Amino acid sequence: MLARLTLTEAEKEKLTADLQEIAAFADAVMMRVAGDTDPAQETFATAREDAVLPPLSCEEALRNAPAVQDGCITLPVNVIEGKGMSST
Amino acid sequence: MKETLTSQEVVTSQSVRSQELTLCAVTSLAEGLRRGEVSSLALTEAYLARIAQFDGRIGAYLTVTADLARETAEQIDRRRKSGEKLPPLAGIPVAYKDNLCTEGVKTTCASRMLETFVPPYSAGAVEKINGSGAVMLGKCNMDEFAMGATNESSAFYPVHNPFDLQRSPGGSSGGSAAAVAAGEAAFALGSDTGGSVRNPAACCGIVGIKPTYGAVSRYGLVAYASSLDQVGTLTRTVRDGAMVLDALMGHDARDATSVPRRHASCTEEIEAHGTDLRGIRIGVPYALTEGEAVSTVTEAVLHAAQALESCGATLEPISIFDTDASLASYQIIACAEASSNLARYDGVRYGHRSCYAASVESLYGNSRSEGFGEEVKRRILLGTFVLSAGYYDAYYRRAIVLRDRIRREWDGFLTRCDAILMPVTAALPPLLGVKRSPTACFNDDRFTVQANLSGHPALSLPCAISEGGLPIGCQLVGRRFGEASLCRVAAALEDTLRIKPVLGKDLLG
Repeated sequence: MLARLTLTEAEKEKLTADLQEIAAFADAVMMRVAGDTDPAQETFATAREDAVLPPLSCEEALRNAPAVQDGCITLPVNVIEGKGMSST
Repeated sequence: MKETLTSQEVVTSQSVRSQELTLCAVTSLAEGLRRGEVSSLALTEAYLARIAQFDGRIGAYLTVTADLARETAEQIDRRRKSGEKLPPLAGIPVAYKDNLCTEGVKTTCASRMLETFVPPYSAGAVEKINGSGAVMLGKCNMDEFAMGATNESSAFYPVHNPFDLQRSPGGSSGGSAAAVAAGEAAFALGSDTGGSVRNPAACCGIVGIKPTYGAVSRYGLVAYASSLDQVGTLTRTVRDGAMVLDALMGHDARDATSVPRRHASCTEEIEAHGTDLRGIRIGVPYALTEGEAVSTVTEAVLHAAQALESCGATLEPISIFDTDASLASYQIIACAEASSNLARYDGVRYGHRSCYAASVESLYGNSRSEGFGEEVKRRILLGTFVLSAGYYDAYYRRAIVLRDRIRREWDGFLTRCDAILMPVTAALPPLLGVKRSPTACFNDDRFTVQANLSGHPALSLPCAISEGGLPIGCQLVGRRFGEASLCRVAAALEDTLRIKPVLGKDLLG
């Protein structure tokens, strides 16, 4: 659900087995080595000056959009209204 | 002696010269350009010819920007002719990994999701290198969204190792590494999240440098795991890597993790010391090297240790904490960050959009499922799992605690030592097409993830050639922002070992 992926049954079976294998590996390691201390709060980030810089033009920003109409990104009507499958 | 050459001899002579040009070090090419012995256009044509001749077999490029390259090369030649003093990289042909945004040039991340994406801006690293006058030849193949270590997860086609076409070039910057090794680019940029520059460099017999986290701008590098990602260099020699790094490092306010500081010149540091490493302490994890790598790799790395000692360095045995712990911590943190970073691909504003959708939710789900390959889906699922409320403490929080422990451990090593010498890969480049379980694949990153978790700079360079002619790399990890010192040690090792992997006859032209 959180991953927002639609998986086939075959994919579900394969990926479930893979995730179980990875979780078992991580469980074994964590049992062996992890302490219970809190991680140090380190921050590397430095915020830049809060200044307005020239933005992308509307045309540039929309150039990679799958569907555009009148300067707006559009979705199929049935997606907006939730009216069933579409092939448009 | 004949006074004229036959047309066939002219062709042969030009082809030999082109081949020599395409296998030259960047330092030599820069000198040739400066002296006017070769033009940037001639150099560019030689590389484009080589790409046309060999890339069908290698698969290093996803996009070749031939016309743009010729145009840039002609501009550089004109500027040079007019007497303008140009930066050292001016006129040198370069290739970029296809996860570095290039304004007006398709940037796919080797994914169906971004198959038609043309960025409206260039990455900070690309701006720096293009701004130095380098000539972009094109965009290189890679593992999809940089997830993998064999280049087989590219959605388009795999990359073949120039030293054995049946084998992987390593990954995820496999296209960048193979391009440089095969003479299809003078140098290349890649990205390294868990070893993705160093691993393919080792597999392809070239030099790969992952700089300190924060030393090179990540602006415009399509994000995989933001706290681990770093743009790195792929070159034929350490001096080439130093030269590119000198042009690449520097602050970029558009990347909040870019560190504002002055970087010592890597090139000058190498030239100041030569092969004299007296006073340098090198930490060597002997038990790890002997216990977790195949014998050919172990022997090669221990031979490199002896070579460093012969330059005057002091070797100090060190003991590295459980590498399984590094792998677990890396996998959890990388996948958690990937699941967040890749949430932006929803089929609405850009990227692949599914034709089959009944609702906003199914538009998202179908677009993502059609656009992402299996490895990417696996990592997104793992990432959302370890971040979910019921499992956050058991996995993600513990991985962060482990990362802190690893960071402190490496800070300790690099307080006592100037650099750490260890393997890059546990084994020789793998054969293409061999299916392995997810945890078996973790082994590809066993020696490289530590430098990403801790943020230290790390460099891979060839240290031996196997009986079958495959390159073997060794890794040097240095102090944070100590790229210059790291390059100095690596150059001394390179000069002492003098390992030069030779391409097969079919790729020598």
